[in-house]
Amino acid sequence: MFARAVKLGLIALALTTAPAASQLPRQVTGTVTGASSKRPIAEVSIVAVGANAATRTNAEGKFTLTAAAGELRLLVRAIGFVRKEVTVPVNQTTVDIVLNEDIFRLEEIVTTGQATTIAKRNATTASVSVEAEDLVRAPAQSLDQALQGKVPGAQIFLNGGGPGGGAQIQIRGASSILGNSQPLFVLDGAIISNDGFSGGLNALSFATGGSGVTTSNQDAIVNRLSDINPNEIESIEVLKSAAATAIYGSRATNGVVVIKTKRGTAGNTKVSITQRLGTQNPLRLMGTRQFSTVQQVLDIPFGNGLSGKDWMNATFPGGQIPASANIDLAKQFYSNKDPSYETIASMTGGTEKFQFFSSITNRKEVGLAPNTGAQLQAFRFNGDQKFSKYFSVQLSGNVTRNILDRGVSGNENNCSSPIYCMAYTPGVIDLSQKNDLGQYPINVFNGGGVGSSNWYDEFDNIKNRQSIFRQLASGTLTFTPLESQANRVVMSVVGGVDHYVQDSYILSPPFLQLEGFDGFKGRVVQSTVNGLNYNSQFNTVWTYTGIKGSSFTTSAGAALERQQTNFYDILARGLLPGQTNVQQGSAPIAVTQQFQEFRDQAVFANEQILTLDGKLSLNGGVRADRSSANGDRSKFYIFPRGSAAYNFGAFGPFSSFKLRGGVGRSGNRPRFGDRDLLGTPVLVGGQQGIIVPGTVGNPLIKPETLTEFEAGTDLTFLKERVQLEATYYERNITDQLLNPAVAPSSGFGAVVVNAGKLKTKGFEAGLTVVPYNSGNIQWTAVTSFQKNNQRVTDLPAFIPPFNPSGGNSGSTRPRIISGQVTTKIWGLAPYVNGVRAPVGYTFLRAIGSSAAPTAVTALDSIVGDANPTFQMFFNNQVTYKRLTLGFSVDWRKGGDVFNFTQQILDEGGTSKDYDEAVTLDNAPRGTTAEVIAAIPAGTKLGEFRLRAYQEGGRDSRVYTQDGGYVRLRDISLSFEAPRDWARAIRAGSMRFSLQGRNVLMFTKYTAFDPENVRRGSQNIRQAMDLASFPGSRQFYFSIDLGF
Amino acid sequence: MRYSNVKRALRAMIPAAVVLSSACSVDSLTVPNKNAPNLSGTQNSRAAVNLAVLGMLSLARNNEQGWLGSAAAYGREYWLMQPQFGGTISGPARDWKVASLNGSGLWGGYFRNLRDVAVAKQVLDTSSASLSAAEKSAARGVIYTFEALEQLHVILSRDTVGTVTQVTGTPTDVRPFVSRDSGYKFVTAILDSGLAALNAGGSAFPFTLPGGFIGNPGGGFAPGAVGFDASTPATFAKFNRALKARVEVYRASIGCGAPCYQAALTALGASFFTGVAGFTKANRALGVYHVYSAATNDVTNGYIPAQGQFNYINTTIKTVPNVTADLRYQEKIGPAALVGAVEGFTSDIEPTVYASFSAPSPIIRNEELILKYAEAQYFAGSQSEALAAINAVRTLSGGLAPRGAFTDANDFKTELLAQVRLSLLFEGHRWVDVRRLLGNAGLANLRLTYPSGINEPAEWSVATSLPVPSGECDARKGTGNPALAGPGC
Repeated sequence: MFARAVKLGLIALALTTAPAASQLPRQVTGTVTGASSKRPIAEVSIVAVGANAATRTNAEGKFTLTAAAGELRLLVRAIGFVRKEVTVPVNQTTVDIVLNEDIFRLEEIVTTGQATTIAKRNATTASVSVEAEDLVRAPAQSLDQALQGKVPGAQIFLNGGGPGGGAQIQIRGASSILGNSQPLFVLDGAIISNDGFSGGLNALSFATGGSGVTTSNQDAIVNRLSDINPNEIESIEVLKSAAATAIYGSRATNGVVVIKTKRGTAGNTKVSITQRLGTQNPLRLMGTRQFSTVQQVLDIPFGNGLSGKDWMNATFPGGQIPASANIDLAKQFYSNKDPSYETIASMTGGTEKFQFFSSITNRKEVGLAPNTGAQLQAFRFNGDQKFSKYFSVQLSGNVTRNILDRGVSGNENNCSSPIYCMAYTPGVIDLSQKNDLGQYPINVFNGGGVGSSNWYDEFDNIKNRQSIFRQLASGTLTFTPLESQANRVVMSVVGGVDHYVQDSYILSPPFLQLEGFDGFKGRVVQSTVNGLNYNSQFNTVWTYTGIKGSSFTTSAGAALERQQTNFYDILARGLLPGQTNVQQGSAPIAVTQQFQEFRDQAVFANEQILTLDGKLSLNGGVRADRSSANGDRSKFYIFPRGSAAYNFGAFGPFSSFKLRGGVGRSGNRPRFGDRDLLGTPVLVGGQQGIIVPGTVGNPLIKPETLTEFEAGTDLTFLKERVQLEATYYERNITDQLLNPAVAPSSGFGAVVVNAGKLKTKGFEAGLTVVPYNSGNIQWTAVTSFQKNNQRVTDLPAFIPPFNPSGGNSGSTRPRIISGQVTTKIWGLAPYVNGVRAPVGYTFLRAIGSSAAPTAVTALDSIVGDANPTFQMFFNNQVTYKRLTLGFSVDWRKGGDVFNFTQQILDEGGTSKDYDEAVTLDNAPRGTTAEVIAAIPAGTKLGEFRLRAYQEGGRDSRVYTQDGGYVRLRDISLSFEAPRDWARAIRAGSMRFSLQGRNVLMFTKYTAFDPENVRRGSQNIRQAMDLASFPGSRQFYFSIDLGF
Repeated sequence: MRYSNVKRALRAMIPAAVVLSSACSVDSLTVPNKNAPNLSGTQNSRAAVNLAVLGMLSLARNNEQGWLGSAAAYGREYWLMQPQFGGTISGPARDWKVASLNGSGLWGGYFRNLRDVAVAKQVLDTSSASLSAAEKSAARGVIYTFEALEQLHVILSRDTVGTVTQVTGTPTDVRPFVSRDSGYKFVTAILDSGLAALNAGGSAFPFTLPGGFIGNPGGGFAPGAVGFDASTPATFAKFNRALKARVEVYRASIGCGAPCYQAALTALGASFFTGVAGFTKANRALGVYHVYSAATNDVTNGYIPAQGQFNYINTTIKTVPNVTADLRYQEKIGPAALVGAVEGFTSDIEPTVYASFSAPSPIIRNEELILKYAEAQYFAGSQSEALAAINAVRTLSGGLAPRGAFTDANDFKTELLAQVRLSLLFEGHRWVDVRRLLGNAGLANLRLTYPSGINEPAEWSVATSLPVPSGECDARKGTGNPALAGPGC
């Protein structure tokens, strides 16, 4: 394969040489300034087109260019400014150039191939780019969170509000039901890991039940993207359409995120230091029920208050509970306001031949709960060396330490998750106060024994720490054997390595109340993930500009990729006080190990044509991939793509009018082990045995295939004040990787097959407006809109409808059914003679009301839709003299969520509005006026909801709520201090900022945050909120100093 | 100049291309899956037979864990009282079939093991060189016996719905339901095939059976129990016959009548049953057991006393007159460390049948056989012999006074069920025995009255049988053949 590539390269080279012109030189000097700011611009690239001469401006915006005599055509380009062509007549020796600020980012670079790019003005597909300033407007828990609301077409779900992040990114809807669902992340050419491994919390929380089971997907997993330091990033480009992502072949259906880190600039070494100091409080808590009598506690549903009877009678002997004895347990516990901080120091500089950028970050985010938090320490060094006209090298290296102390949150089965446990603990007991012996009180409620917990005791004494030590390195060696007026050939070798060790340690000492749930008191888990990813690729790019007004870029190459993970955990149970090591348990040590490895090979070729004076761009290419994950490892799967754009230039009312469209195919390779036919090991009486596996592998398994059509337009009008980008897309995903359950009577649980089709249709639009841009005030407003709809269009008859996420079959779940929308929420709802009864009917039926005369049948049916009607992001930046205000607002219309948290609060009799009377306003959605009228006086709202949900076989609609919201996601107000202030401390520049994240939220949803709602990590959104870590509202004060 | 550069570059690239093309060979894509075993390495060998048979025995044991808990809950012997789950998952009065909504319990595991049976048979068939004919026959005897036992549990859990007796090995090849009666006939035939194979099985198995088949398994069940050794084909055959006796008694009580009771008596004669005269307090526990441990890949016995496991005993057992004086009550039920309270129910007693995670659970034992013997004698033999058997249990197991003659069949059934309730507590019998002797109406009488608050919907009354799992039904409907959907879907 390579021999052929080399031959092709040789032919290409042989065809493309031309002699250079040789004339007497002339010199031109000048200054480049910004149109609005009137300030000089440094680092402007000035190229004399066709004259083989180039230079850059210095810090004062001045430049000197030596070129051949004759008229010069200068192409002037700078980051953040619109490019300009300036003609310098033969006799002119100085030229002053004014560049317009690139508000619409037309100069942005859009990736079109493994080694090729195009300016956004000519891009043939919709592209999204997030710049550094938008990314770090306010410090984020993780890169995922920083990207929320910034990428039209993407939905980013946090796995709860705990410190350190943990999220899933979905680009243009779910592209896979069971396969990998996360985008491919490419950082400076290295394909990096976004693995998420549980550290073993299930051993403590029993979220999925099972004695001695250490991991589950409900363990509030933090994915490896959270190790990436947003402060080191220059820009993030998100490739969405298959016409763009197909360059990454069989790993690209979920989109590709291309991250570029900051690089050095030549000149005197510049140092900048940023110090941020902040604090946090809960964005939203749920409040609590006020108890006034002991009897109220004893009457809690299901007798959950009964275990506290003696304690209640002793504490409140008169049977009355004073208002002052009521405690909002969540508010009391999630109240840590200790300072969070972030320190960033960076340095950049270099010579014409060598430039470097280096930075150090130290961040600590304090969690709302005691003893929780996340720390990130990162060091980066990027160096660019130019050896000669022919050779240059770019090296990037980073070392990160990420330490996460996240406590316990989410689903559990033994009161280990505070929000869960608080639901069953009436707020009449103060668990925060230690006694004289330094011991916390036991929680007398919720059974009062094992299976109940004092969360203060727990969070003071458990350890749940993940330490990640990660090294990223990548390098690009570029060789330019040929550069002439008409031809340029660049060969490059790119290599990337990503190595991380995730070390997790979980300790729960034996004296905690919740210990002993599985018969063993005290447990410790030590787990390690060792991940190693590396990729290398070879590219040859030949650019031909020999025809006036056109350029042809031909490229070809090959790539090798490998990803390995080795996960092992050790669980010991039954500890003596003080024991903390895994060899010390009384129960036999349980050890788990999972080893995974993927190897992929690819060859690719690409042709990019820009013609008709840049009006028409054409882009086409093909990639062939084979992978160790496929059933047939020798087979190459082909991923072609093609796209085109035509820019009409000024057209009617438009100053620029571009139409673009593309079609492409990308793949999603099978999961590790999908191809393998294996047994399951068992042990009985000390002897080993093998049984048949629950899921049977498929030796014919192949990648899922996404074929996408995209069309759109980019318009600029009203004197270049408004730009509209609109894109419509249609995605067809075939050969879905599915594990359909087969008839269990066959003896098999499930099989692995490629089957079924998913179709997603969607629309994205971005409107950039410059409402004001003159003198002292500059205001840019970017509004994005996104909407999509996904349907299973074809599921073979042998695959029955199924729930792709496992999860709690008793409440709600997604369901994959032929012809149905994937995001619908399914649950049980009561039917009377085939007609759906209103919400609350089951309550009336249960109390024997004459308004509910007929028996109901609970049927599995649609109770909501997790997909928002639409989502809009509003990003604004206003600069007035030295002040800059930036903020982003996010509006999600619709998108239902099953509020399991509310359900457990009602079940535990502790919800805030439990004692309210039922009215049409406060009753669950779907409750009719007739039902309200029939409810007997004195019925409590909490009781109504709970029984309406539980009676008659269940009505899941009761807790299915509208998860729409409007939120002020981030805001920053900064002040650029006068130079004198900076000079006073010998700095060059000084800036003060006030920053906030998750500042405000308006929603009808009643639990913490409708956005942080995933019970476990699932591809098809489960839209269920269960006792997640409450999200925090964070405020920071920052000082930036430049030296 | 440019050409020379190009040449230089190409020259430099040749070694790189060589290195890359070797890295690009398809062989480099061979990545083994190291996380799970397969039988291919030991194909056709003695080791493969060992792994397959032990695998089958292991899964049968795992399945038994599900059976013990479910049958004890449906038979209202046992309450799972986890406070947090009051309303959502299960409670004392709710059957798990409703809570899990799809009745997936007690189904897939048995069929999965019937696949293991098929695999084990296949391994035996291909192990021509490494095992003698007698050894193969002995191994087949064990495999048939467990095939029958797994199938029996499917029939017991689905009762009149029936079962599926053909397990083909092709995931999409769904076979029709057969009636309960056909299922029972299948089970008895398989047990007889097993006996024939064991009889031709020589003197030793080509593998070592787990501890529960050899002597006293220990672990606290019935202290001082005398062990029964089923570790040779000849003695394993006695275990096979004991199961046959159980199956024949079941069949007899649901329609077959005297012929099946007679067959049961014949089978008992060939089993390890000690006879009434030989029955002692010590040899009650004589039998074959499943063993457990907390080792990796092994499973534990989860029905240990309440602490941490929320296992409680249904307090209605206390309404049996003088029950606390019964030795069996004292042996098997203890005061709970913490009173369980869920849905207004409370329980202060917990099971001590299984004292630890490694406590063995009986597959079948002498005390069950004597009760089966009493039943068969009462309905098809000597009523006085039946009385003698019942009194042996009353006096030796329970420390109770002997009783007088039975007034009628109902009197006998009541007495028998009273002994089953205590003698075989938490061994998976009460639900089955009440259903087959007193019918569904008898089960309905086990229904609990809610102390307060909650309306008990009719569907929460005691399960008579479990529904066919929705996954099974969906797959059957997916075949497009309505005949396959059959009863229960």
